[in-house]
Amino acid sequence: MKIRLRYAKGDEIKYISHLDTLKLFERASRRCGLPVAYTEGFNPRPRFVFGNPLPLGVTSECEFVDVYLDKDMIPEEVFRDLNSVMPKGLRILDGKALSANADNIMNEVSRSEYVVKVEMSGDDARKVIELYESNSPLVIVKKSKNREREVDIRPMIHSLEFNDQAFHIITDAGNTSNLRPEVALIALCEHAGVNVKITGIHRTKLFKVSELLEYGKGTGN
Amino acid sequence: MTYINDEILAQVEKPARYTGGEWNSVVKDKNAVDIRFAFCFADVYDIGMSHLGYKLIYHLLNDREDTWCERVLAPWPDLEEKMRENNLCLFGLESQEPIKDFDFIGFTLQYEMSYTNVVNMLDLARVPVFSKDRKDGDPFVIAGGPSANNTEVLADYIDIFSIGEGEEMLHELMDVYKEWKKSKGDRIDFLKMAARIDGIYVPCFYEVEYNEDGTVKTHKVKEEYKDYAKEKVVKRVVKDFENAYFHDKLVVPYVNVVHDRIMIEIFRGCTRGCRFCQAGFIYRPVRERSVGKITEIANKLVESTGYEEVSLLSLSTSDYSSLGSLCDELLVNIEEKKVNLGVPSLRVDSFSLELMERVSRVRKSGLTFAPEAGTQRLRDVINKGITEEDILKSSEIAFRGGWNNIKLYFMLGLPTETDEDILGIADMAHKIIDVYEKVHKGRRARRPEITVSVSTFVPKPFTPFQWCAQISKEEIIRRQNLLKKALNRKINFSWHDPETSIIEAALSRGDRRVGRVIYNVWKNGGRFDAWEEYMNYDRWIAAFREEGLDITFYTERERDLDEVLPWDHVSVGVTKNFLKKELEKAKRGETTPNCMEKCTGCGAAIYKGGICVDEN
Ligand code: SF4
Repeated sequence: MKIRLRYAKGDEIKYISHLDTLKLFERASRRCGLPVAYTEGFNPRPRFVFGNPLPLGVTSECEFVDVYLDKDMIPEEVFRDLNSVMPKGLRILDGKALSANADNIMNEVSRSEYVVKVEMSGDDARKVIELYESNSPLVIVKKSKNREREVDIRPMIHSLEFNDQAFHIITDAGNTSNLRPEVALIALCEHAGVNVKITGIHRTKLFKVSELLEYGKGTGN
Repeated sequence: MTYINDEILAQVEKPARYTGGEWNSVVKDKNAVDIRFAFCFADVYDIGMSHLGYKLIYHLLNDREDTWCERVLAPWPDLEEKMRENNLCLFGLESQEPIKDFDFIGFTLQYEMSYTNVVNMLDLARVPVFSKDRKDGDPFVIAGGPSANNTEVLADYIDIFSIGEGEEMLHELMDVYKEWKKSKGDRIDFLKMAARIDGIYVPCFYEVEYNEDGTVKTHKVKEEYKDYAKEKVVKRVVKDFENAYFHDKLVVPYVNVVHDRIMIEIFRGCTRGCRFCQAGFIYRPVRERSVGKITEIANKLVESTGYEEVSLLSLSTSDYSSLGSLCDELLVNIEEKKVNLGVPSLRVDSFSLELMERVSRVRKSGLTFAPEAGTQRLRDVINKGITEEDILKSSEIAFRGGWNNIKLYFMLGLPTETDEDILGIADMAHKIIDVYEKVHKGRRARRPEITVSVSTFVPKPFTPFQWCAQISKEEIIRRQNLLKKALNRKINFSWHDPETSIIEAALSRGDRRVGRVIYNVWKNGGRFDAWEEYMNYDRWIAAFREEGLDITFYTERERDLDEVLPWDHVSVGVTKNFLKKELEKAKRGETTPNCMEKCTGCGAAIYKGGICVDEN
């Protein structure tokens, strides 16, 4: 069977990379005896499918992983067992059983929301919001292997608000288009001519491709 | 909260090296313990967290309710720079607090090239780097591990050395410390109490005099410490290895480290007695663990860590008395949990190839042989009990079994080596290619991948070659080139810059004066000297010169058999007399049987344990 788990990554483990988080799940599963299914072949691997990688240093309350099991279990049991062997900072929040043909989490997510804490005056923040709302192009230079190219990242930003010394921002996050929140914010601030110091980034929600249904707290639906 | 803030962590490589919190790491209430112990490994996290001994002692100390042991690893230069800029000091991974107020700062000394990092870590901790400058309230700096057997090079930095295996000795030391703390004695009082424990050496209780030619004249206990310190410090061993402490937990790092798996010592020591190998002498006598015990340890560790691999650890796995049944038993226990078994350092023969196929999903590449020398004559000199016939036969079995990749390890500069011995290396490699062609005759086979890898011989204390000279840098290069030219181009050749081996040789057999050189190198920026990209040979050479010492005195000089060696006050069980006899036999090209065949009376029987009592 296939179970989708939602988990939080706290401050304690925000420097653990995507790949290392994968290893962490593998080992935790073995510690609690979770009957994870393995791939066939010469070098069998446990079947986990993770969502969009979370950048290093970012915390989150909406990370997803699809786990394939050899035995049927109720989702509550799975995440309770896992939570008993997880290090501080990693908490499974909920889980639900998926039908066998459900699409992988990787292919489903298209946007995500972040809270980016900053040191900035209210006036400056207003300038940034105004620039965002003006809808004017936001061109940055993207470096890939051996060439640089200019891209307008404005269409990849879908919402921006400021309150409590933090920007709430929604950007593309998926297989086809992906924009890191700090890249978006730094570009906006630069164009608006204000200084910014980012003191923390936290991912709060993911959105589905098709319906742009909210994927955050609540049911993980 | 991490001690290093996010702003800095975001700018350094692999920040998770510094944030702690790994599964099975131990966090205690600092107000509920009597002893805080900062356990240092003088290299980066990825290396330190790969050492079994480091993790073993960590858990051993933490199993004491009265002690909180924390891990402290050398910050990589990118972080060190930020720490110095921001006036930060060295901290423990568990508490994320500075270690300068801890009771102990302990180092495990695994290799001499880490000594500049020892000094650097003390300095970063804001603890006086020299023992003589530490005052009441400063931590006690202690050191153990294989390199600690030559105590002298770091004698000015370390308050207390523990010689040999720490499992029992450290408990005694902690108990004595608590007694001392209760008595509210002075710093020196604790050193006196510690010095009375077997295996403990307190360097400041000894004085050294030198002869005019620079050799040691005397190394003796100062008059006023006669009641506390011993003239001869005898290495400690755990006599009953079967029932010795083992940790049923193990810290599981988040980030990739070099050896990221469960490692289980199946036996300690080695019976072989290769004359160049320090480990072969300092860990005597050989003591085995039973199949049942090893299986029990493996099961507990798999359960507590979730690791996907268990690896057997020893100096020579093939010498384990019942390797076949051990592997069978382990596989039965761990296979269903999808855990792999790693069986490294096997001698290659049909038994081991069959075993390898059975136990692990290794790709059919990468078999290693360590003949160490190119001719039978020289292999007899070093007592490496392996013949050309053995190697060719094993290669044939391997090639027939589908392997095509063989790596051969050799040493250049072994005592009595001639050009003929070097050409013998090439000869052996060529014969292996012939074997490959014979095996695959008439068929279109993959090209064989034969690699010859050479290192430079470093004479080590407590070996029969402790009196021998190392060859000069020019001579090493000449011999490397000689070999390179002699090798068929089908063979891959890999060799090391001789510079690290030369510095390592000087530090391995150094005396107290060499400690000044380490300080000089460190002052001039020396860090991570075990890393080729950081080691600076010229800086070392300049430091020797500035301190008025001739490096060749330590490297290229053959010692007189009657000379007082800087480490003579330490006994590892194996007697100096035995080593002398071994050296003489080496010069005559005579071999010595291993302990399994016959006891040759090396001296380690004083421990009344392991093979000395089992078999003989
Ligand atoms: S005393 Fe004999 S059996 Fe024991 S380690 Fe020495 S040589 Fe081997």
